[in-house]
Amino acid sequence: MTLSAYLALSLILFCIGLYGALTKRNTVIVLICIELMLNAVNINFVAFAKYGPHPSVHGHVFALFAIAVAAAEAAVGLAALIAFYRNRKTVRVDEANSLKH
Amino acid sequence: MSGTDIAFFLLALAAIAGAVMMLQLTNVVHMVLSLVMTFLAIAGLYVLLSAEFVAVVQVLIYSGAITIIMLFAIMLTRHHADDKERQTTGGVGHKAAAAFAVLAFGLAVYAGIRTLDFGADGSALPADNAKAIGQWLYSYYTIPFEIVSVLLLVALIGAIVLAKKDGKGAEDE
Amino acid sequence: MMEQWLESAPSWSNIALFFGLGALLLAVVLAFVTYSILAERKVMGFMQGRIGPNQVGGRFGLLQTVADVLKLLLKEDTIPKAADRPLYVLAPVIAFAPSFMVLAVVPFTDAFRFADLGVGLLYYIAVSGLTIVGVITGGWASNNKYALLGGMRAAAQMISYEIPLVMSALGVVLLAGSMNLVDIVNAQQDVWFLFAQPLAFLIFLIAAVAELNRTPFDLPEAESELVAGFHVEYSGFRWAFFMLAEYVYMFAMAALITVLFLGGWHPVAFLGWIPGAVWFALKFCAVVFVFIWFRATFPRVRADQLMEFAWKVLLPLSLANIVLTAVVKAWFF
Repeated sequence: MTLSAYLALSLILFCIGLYGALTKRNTVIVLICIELMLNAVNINFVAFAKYGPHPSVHGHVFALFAIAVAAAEAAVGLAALIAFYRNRKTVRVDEANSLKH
Repeated sequence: MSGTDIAFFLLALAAIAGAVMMLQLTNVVHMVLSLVMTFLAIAGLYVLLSAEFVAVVQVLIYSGAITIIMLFAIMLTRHHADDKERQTTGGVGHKAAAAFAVLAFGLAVYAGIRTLDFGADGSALPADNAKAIGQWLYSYYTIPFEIVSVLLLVALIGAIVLAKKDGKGAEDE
Repeated sequence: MMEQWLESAPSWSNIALFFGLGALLLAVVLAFVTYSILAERKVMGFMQGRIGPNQVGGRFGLLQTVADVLKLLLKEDTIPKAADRPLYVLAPVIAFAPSFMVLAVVPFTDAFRFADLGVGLLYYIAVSGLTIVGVITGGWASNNKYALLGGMRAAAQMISYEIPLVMSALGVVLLAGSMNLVDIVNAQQDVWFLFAQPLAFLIFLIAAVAELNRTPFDLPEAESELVAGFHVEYSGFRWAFFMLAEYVYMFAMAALITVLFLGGWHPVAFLGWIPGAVWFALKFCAVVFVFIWFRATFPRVRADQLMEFAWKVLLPLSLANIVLTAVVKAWFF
């Protein structure tokens, strides 16, 4: 397997995630699309760790950091979603257009 | 075609199929579950890339934890089944613009990575990568590691504070 | 023997061999499930002053479970009209498949083991977490409020108890210096981790019972309040799949406790002439008996007690255990 195959796969997944994040209006789905983009980036890290110019586990460590940050992001994002839903009774991301309820 | 190639193509197909299904389905729970397939396929790809520790963490965090809290958030909020046609923002124009931008981005990057090859065959990775990761994490990456642990703590507390009912609102109810 | 096979080059004969071994393990597990259900009913019967099954298959009811399974397979397969059909069909499979996948890393004896994975313990925890997705999917897809409540409870409970489970196992990992289950067993050549890590063993056992959704933590299927929990709408072989997953997990969890804390296939003191497989089976049966004993003697806890117990008692205790183990290891080894 070559490096470019993994990079191309990760690019496809990133583009799907980006398209979803731009067009979906449900907040949960937008969050999920962001997770998909982060996953695509992680594939890059791990692929470069094996097939890059300097193969080592540094790529794995970076992927782990990215996963930890993604988990934190999902938790805070969903908590914000629940607080938003309580105030506005909706989960649509385009209706989050005022600073105070 | 070697066994690794076949495994790569099957896993890549599963990952992309899950992602495309996520875009196409209308029910939110179905979307989350189709993405579980993508996450699992990506974990399989990590195994192919001889990163079994990252693969296991991927299954543990993404397919296990993040999917479950997504499902919880979906079930705690209301998602009307009748506004299926309103799942996406804007009209055809908005979608077309987004698709065009994403495609342009994808093609530009693809032109860059198409022939990228550093000639490494991947044999330089240590076999026991969990141990190697641990040693790097607690020596070279100590400060980022500690910062990530603080970040997780902040996220934990922040999530609780955000999701808790406001003091005033709770009295009203 | 197995190691040579695992490291040989892939070929069709190898694939056939591994398929055969997998089928053999499945047969062993199914036999275990059949007779553990019978054992559960018999042991509980004796503990409650009854006899238990004694009609089908001789005086000890040896064919009772077989008859039950045949009856299940003949039952009508119902799918509620308002259910989400594709997910309703898929959920039992999502719940069952990981329960069999986790068995791949459990070393039964020196020779009989499948994957020699460097991150074996984490693999077990990660893959067993996938079952939660199946459970919550089944509860949601049934479109029944009791099923949904049961599914949500099950997910919350299993996620919460996974944390003390991992944290207590970390003490063992610290002492053994490896997450590979074979290395962990080999580190117990002289002293079982049951004696080196008594606190971790207690926490692990409690969290394991909660992970298995068994009494006293069987809230997801509390029959007196939730009818039957997340699988209330399921019938026939789909319901059997959920049951099967539960008992295969009991098999896997008992095997894991044997490997982590009871020294796996290592014999006791001077009884080394008894083969390792027998020792493993004996320890394994003891753990299964403890699970059944718990079920017969404990009342069910309340939902709020359940969560508080995981987060306010088990988690701090397991963190303290990790610190203690690290200090002991740094000073005395």
